[in-house]
Amino acid sequence: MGQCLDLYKLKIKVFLGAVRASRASIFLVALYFIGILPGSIGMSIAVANLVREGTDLTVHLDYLSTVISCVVAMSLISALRGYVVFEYEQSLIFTSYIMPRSFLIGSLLADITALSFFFLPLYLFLAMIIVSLALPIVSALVLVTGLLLFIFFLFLLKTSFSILVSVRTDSLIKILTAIVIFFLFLPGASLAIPSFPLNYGIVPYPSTLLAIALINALYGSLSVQPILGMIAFFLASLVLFAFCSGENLFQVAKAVPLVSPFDASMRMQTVKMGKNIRLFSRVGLRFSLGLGSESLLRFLMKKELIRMVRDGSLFAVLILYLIVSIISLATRQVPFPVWMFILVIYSFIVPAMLIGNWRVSELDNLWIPLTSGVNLGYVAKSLLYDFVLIACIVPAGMLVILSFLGVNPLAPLVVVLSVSLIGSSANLFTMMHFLGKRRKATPSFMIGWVSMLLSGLLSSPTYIYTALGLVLSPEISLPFAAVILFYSILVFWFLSGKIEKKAAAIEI
Amino acid sequence: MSVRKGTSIVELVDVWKAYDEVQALRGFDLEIHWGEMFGLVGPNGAGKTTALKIIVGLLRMDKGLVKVKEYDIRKDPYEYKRFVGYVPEVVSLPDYLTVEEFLIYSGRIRSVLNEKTRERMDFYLRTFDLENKRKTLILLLSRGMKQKAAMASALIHDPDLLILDEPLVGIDPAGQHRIKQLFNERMKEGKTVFISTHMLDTAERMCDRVAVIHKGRNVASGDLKSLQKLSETAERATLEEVFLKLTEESEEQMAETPSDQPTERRRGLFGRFRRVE
Repeated sequence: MGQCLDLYKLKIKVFLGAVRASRASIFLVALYFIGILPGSIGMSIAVANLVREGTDLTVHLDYLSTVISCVVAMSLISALRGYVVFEYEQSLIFTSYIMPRSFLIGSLLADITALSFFFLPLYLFLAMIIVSLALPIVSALVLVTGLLLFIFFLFLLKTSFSILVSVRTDSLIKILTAIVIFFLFLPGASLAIPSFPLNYGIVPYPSTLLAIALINALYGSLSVQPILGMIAFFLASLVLFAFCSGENLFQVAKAVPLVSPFDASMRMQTVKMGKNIRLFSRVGLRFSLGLGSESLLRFLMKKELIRMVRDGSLFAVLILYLIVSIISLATRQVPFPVWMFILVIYSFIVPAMLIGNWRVSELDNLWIPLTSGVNLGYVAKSLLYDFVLIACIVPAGMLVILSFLGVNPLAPLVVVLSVSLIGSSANLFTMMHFLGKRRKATPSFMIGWVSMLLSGLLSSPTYIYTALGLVLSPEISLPFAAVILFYSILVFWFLSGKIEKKAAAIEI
Repeated sequence: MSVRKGTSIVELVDVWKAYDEVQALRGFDLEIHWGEMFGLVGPNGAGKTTALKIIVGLLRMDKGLVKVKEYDIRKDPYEYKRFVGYVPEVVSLPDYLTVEEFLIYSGRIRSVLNEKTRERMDFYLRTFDLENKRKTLILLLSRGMKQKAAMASALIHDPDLLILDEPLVGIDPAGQHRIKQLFNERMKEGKTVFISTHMLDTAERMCDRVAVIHKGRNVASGDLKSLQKLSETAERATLEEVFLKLTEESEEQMAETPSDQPTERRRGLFGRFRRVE
């Protein structure tokens, strides 16, 4: 037990170390809690109101069970990778005198503690519900115990399955996982087909039991059956864990670098980028960089485009625009200017994201062009043209499609072009500024915010034009559009000159 | 190409460089000749990498003169790089490119003709045993393989001067042997190889001449015999023994004359150090 406790303490220290590694990480943690708190408070008020109004929440049992089943399925799917440890665990702990079972128990408790840290707003959510509904102590205990039992069940199940996947070389466990997931969601079919003979209300799944226990507790009634069922599932998962933890997982575990979601350091971002490259290069290798006769500028643009395909940057851009398109097409009643604004905002978020990714991928590789004799300003220029191209082409294409739906694309095209020109140049200018002396260690997300602020300020005439576009007649709007375009080109030209100068002065 | 043995291809005169509060180079002088294999040796933090980075244009010096071939690198910071190949100590390469694409990229940014790039790429991939990794992503290469790919990239434009920071670290014995052979071939062609290392036995075996750098100063330079003479060590003294003697002497000298920096550093606004000439 002493070893488990020592390991637990070590893992918690490592976890907290990554969380408070830098001011940027602390800032991100604070941002996470600030971002999630309003939602938790709002949710707790809404749920409490529903219960007070006497709404019958049991009618939503199937939905709640489906959501909880999704959580179970996700944890089973994540177990398919096999048992994964951090590199430091493999080199430091696996080589020490420690039994796999002690390691697993220590790790399990540490993982649950770490997860609880992220779920702090959930506790607030629960506390607010208990207080606002003045729930009896037994119901409050059922709420908390039910959730705890479920969390332990989930972790024990995931750990056991991942050990089995690592230990067994055949695909039996994978097939078994697929079957379990299938049966987990089978009663969910009743949501789409009301006549389906199976629903969550009649199957004693852990997700159903938890849903029933939670709903009953909210109404202050105590039902022993679901809690007993959950205890049974917890004990079964404990037995499975006891069986699996006897395996020597030290020889089969997969080691990955320690990556904290709040670690904003360049090293961590590079690790994450490596993962992206592994994933996207499967498609990205279809486009290759060959010996061609194009100009150096075109060659460099092509190379950057290939990078963006292979590190997933372009994929993320397409997903962003896809979301905007779906929203705009699904909500046709929303006035055109509203989604125009969304599009415009994305037009400068996109360059910020692309440039952030470039920094992660290329900062350490800058020695290559810097020692080659090519002016780094030239590299920056190729990058700028690529960003303008990407920030323009996709929304412009969407606008052309929309023009078939009866929208005059001329004015919106001017806006997209303007914001793309300003957004790309302002973002790259900010990045080059931060690549200067003493500022290299600034986290990408902070640079992103500064650059978006600069883009926003410089794009304000374009926003005014967009807003006025609603009231101005086409005769006045057209010359105004020409002025906006001229202004954007001027900003682009001015900033690209500055970018080249700043790039040429970079030292690494 | 014309071989000018004995004349200098690299010349550093009174070079100073500081990082915030640390004075990395203090009036560093160096002269490297055409067609020789030159080694820069020194303990950790002596200023070896800083000196190399200044020569290849990754860092700007605070004061001094650096000439590569006939170019003053301050006045002409780009042209001379056509004749220089460089491999850093910690090699970082574009992980998203394949080995072949990386070498093509290296050739293009160095204005190498396509036929020459293809020819040299094939040659170096064979030499460094990377032929079967041609289409492999750099991300998937081992550290030693990345080092070899970087070496191939530094040679793709057939430079007159090859500068390598700790060149043999992380490379397998067969690879090390091939690299040494390659260096010898290049020197026969009248080209220069400049390595920085703290592995003294490597420097002793490989280099024609070495310079000992200690706390940003060139303590001594020359072939082993002249260094033995200068340090007053025995005729059979190894470079390691000579090195230890020279750095100890330098340490004593610096303790006697500490105030030799050309710049005064004052704490300015927001606690940053500002250099005052």
